[in-house]
Amino acid sequence: MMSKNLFLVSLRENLKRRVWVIFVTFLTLFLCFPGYLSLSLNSMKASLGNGYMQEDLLMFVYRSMGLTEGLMVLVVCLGSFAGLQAFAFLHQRKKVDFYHSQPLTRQFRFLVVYVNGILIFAGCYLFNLVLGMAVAAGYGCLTGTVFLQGMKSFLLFLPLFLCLYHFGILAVLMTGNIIIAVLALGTFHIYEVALRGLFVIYQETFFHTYSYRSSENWWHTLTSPVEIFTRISEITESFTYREDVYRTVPVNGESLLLLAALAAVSLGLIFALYLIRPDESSGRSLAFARTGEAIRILLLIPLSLGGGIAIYAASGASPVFGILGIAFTAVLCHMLLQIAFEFDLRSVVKRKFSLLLSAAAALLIFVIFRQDLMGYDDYIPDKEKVESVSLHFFIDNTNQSYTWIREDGWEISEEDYILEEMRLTDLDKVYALLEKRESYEEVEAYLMEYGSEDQQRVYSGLTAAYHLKNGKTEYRELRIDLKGAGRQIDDVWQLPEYRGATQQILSDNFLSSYKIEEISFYNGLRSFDLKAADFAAVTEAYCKDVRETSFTETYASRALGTLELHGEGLRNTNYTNRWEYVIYDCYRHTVEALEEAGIAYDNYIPGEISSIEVIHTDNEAAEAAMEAGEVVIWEEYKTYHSYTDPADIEAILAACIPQDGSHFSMQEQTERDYLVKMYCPAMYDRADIYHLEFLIGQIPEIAVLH
Amino acid sequence: MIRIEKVSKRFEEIQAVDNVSLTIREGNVFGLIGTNGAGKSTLLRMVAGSIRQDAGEISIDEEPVFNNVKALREFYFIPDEPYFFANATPVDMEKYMSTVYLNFASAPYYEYLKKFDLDRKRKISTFSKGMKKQLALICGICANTKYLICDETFDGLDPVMRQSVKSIFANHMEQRGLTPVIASHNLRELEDICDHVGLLHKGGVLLSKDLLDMKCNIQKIQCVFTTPEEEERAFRSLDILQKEKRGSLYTITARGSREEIVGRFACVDTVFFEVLPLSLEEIFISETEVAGYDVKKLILS
Repeated sequence: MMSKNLFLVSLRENLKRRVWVIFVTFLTLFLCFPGYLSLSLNSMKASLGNGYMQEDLLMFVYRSMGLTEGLMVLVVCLGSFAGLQAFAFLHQRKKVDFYHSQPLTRQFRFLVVYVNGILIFAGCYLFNLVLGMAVAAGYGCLTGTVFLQGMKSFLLFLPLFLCLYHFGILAVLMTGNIIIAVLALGTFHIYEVALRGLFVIYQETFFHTYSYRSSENWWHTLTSPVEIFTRISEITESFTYREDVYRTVPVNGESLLLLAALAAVSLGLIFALYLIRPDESSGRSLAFARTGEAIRILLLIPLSLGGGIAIYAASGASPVFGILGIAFTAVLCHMLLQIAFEFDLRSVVKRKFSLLLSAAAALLIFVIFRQDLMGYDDYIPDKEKVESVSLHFFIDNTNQSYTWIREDGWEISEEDYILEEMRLTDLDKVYALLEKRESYEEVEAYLMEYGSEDQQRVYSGLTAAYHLKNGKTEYRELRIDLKGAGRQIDDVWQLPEYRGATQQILSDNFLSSYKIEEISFYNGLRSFDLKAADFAAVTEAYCKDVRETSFTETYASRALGTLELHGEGLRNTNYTNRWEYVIYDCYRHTVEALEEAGIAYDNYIPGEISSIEVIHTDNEAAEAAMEAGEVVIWEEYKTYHSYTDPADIEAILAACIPQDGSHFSMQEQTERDYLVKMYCPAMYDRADIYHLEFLIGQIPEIAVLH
Repeated sequence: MIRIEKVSKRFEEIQAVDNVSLTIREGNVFGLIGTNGAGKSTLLRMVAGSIRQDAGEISIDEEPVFNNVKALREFYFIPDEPYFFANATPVDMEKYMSTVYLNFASAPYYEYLKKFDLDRKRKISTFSKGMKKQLALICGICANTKYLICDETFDGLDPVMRQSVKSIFANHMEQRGLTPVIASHNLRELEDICDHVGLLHKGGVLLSKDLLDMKCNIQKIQCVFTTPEEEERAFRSLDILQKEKRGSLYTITARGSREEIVGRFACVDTVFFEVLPLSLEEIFISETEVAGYDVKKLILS
């Protein structure tokens, strides 16, 4: 039975032995709270003079008391330092003999040392927090909100400190030397992240169908307290740009629980390790000699894989260099580890078994990835296991919105929106399309033989998200020949789930739901505003066209311009949400609706034209010169000709479309060797030079240049 | 009583202590002697609960030692390199010791400091090696534990100080039944203080005997035989550990009591015969040489 008095006396005596920790912790937090606050507040007040806003000071104090990056870094450092120092006596035989021969159980000693570490941090933190609040009060900035913010931050930092503290202790317990302990601590923190990162790099490098979405948040670990902590409160964001400091920073409960669990598990581990740690290991690298082999292998395999992939990439994807890289890195790292583990240069030639085992394992992993022995690229899940599928075509240009708005008002990317919202359940149609996918090798071979200019096959990327019944989602980046798979694409394209997810405009009550205030038509050169009375008719016509037009038809069509919609921000009324939808020449209802609204889509002419300049670039000759290794000065391959005769101008303009508009078409509609510049007197709102391009095969005789 | 039964300890590839069994009775001064690397310090650290044995049992008064407060309260361990807190003075050490050892005798502690001429307010880090050992001994004695385990503690003490410590030991043994356990390879230091010795060699116990018994059971004989036949006869009757001949004078180390040896030589015709007492060092050398250990190279160099 532990005597309460003995415990307190032991705490006091142990505190005397940790004066340095107290000093460093106190000083750091003193500089951080009262020191920093008083200097900053004084400086702010001085720089603002009498015109300073009390609100500014208050916001500053509030933010300084909160979860800032700076405080997080301090807590990480203090926790690690306290952890490394707490049981550092185990690294010195003299101290081990002294403490462990005393009539105190190890459990008691552990408790005394452990509790003191927490008391030092908590005591120094709270004391300096109070001092900081006193400073704030001196500037009239101490409010209940500020006080609560300070206390809340302390309570949230505490599990982070505990984890760091435990990890520091763990590093000391598993080693017999403080330098090795510091290295071990670093390894604990980065091991999982590094391993996950390496896995992602290998997938990216070797799997052609790999989608970065497969590894979204790959750095989210279970064992890195700092990384978990940043998830608790999105600390980096809160520090960098959140100006609305009074807004309560949402605490991610799941991450907080994970951090608490990590603290609890690591506490159990260090307690058990303290009891079983061989005391004779003082001065050695590893306290548990038997773990040496496992640790060596666990370090050597990822290090070798890392070296292998780096050399593989540097050599231009040579497998031979990759293998040599693995072998070289394995040997080098093995030697370094041996020196670290045994403090003996001669030991580099020992433990060959673990070297061979690690190198072989790394090599095997390399080969598995390189040859895709797990069939990653061929993966298509069984239909029975699939709940639904989302497809995002790279070439689906029907929507040009910069942002997509989720129902909760948050803006996300088009791809995110589609892959999150689309749920295709007609798996027969989806799988019929997916069966038409072509392998990377097939596509490469085709492009190698015929080049990308060949129009027999047109490849498009396609992200497929398989939403499995087990709740997981598997992503793959596939390649589809748009011409060869036209029918299958049409089948999927016409599915209401597909159109609904790719076109927000098709959603019910779009105009009212998204508070659309302004609609205009832009033909690539000029913008025409619609009257509010025409909003519904135009959008209705557009929706009808979208629903009725197949992919094949749209693909063959020419873009006429875009419909631009502006709506009030759902989350922030100061912000405007914007959608852009492409109108193709096959969208007859839309064109009619625009005409009825008084807008002619082909009205490119802004007014008076002073001249037209046609620029021809001999791309073929320039590319041939480049291939021959010559230095190409593009100007030398260009021919210019200006036209001022109204008849010539009319003929040229009749064969042109605006350059901006031409890019919305899914396939090339304009001559790539020609650019037309239209010069107008500088009296119009946009610019005085407008860029146009000739439609394919429609270059007037007078504009043909060589 | 400290009981060590079949205790072994291995440090990676080195078998530091191998199946050692010893019993240390109360009221005696137990000397643990052995060559460098014999396993003395390892054994004492295990007895002190500082490190855990791989096999076997160590108990103090029937209580297992490792992590057992009841057993740990019974002794004070002075390692070969005693530890003192950084920047601490003897006063600081007394304050700390009195919190850990409930029966720590503070008044005698300061008396001993005075007696040993150790400044109570001087930083221990400025003490000489010998002074630190004195301070460690004072701490150990004043801890008022039943056993005092000293690892090479007498090394580095000057002769006067050694005598003082011995006399303090004697007083405490008499007053409160202190049992010092002293490990050393300095055999001459143990000879006049130990009652019982344990001889460790290459991690194992060569012998564990009362010093008096040991001295009585091993004799040094110097003799000159009249004829080679007499010489043969004498050798056959003796358990010889060591034999050396210079001219016609034999110097023989043999097992047996003085009476047994004299009795065996009674029927042997000698020109000269004498039985001499062996020093502990000579006994140690003889016993370790029997085990095939070239002790002279280490001990006498």
